[in-house]
Amino acid sequence: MSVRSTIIAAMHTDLLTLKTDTATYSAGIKRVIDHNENIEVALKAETPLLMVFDTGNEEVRVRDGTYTRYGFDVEIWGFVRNKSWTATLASLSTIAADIKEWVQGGPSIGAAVLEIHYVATDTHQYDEKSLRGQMKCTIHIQYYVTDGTY
Amino acid sequence: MAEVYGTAYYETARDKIVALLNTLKTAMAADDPTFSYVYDKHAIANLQLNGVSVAISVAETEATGWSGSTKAVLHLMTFTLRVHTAYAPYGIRDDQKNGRLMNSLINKMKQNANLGDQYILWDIDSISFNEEFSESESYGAEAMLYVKRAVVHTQD
Repeated sequence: MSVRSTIIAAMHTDLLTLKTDTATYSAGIKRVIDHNENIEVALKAETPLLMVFDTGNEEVRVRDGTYTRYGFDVEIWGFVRNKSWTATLASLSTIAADIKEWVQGGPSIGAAVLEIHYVATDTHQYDEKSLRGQMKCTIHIQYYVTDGTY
Repeated sequence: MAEVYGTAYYETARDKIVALLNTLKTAMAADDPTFSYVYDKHAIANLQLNGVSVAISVAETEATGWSGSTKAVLHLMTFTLRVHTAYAPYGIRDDQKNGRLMNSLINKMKQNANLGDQYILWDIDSISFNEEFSESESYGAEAMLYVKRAVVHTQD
């Protein structure tokens, strides 16, 4: 595994605190699903859900001859199943709020990480036929490696 | 990298500033804001916050005397001193924090102007508080440091 993929895997694990820490987070997240799961099937079993999606981008930010700092974006998707559009909207906003709070709290996603920032939430979407609402948050991460490690 | 011929005045001056910064890092540990990391260059991929970095910017010389086989030269070295308090582009640009940290640091450095071995921290000026540094992808404050060192060059 690369340092980058290790960080993303750690995000997947640490996001479970949105489920377990009910005193801090209020969206009631049930599970962090893998991106190749069938969302319809997963949502029928439990709601709401999160998914970490690696968009694949990365760029060099600083090189100093010994270390290299990289920056990349990761998407965290939120999924809700509800008959009510109003309730779905409220749930998606609460999920976004929980994700912002999780980022602000400094999650444990690896010693190589220099910073993690919430960037934006994208449009809430609702599909009446499947009773599914979804949105995504974009998170920006910067980490560094010793030259020669990847 | 090959060593310079003779005594390396510019690197030595920088190393003495870095040594002073490491001393102040301990002395200022209880202050708020303070810094915990010192770097001897501005391109810092593994930058930790709050950090302070120093690098040479300009060097000038002034001949001040000639006697027989020796020539007295005053070396005036200009360094840029930076405090780093946030990462670009999404970190918080806090000009007040930058200003307070730089102010504290300058006060302390001026109280320790004798760097030893005839290196003198002559002055600090041109202080700016709202900087974005591309070399380190960070936000912070910057000041110019002037170090003087008189050298007597014996002619070959």
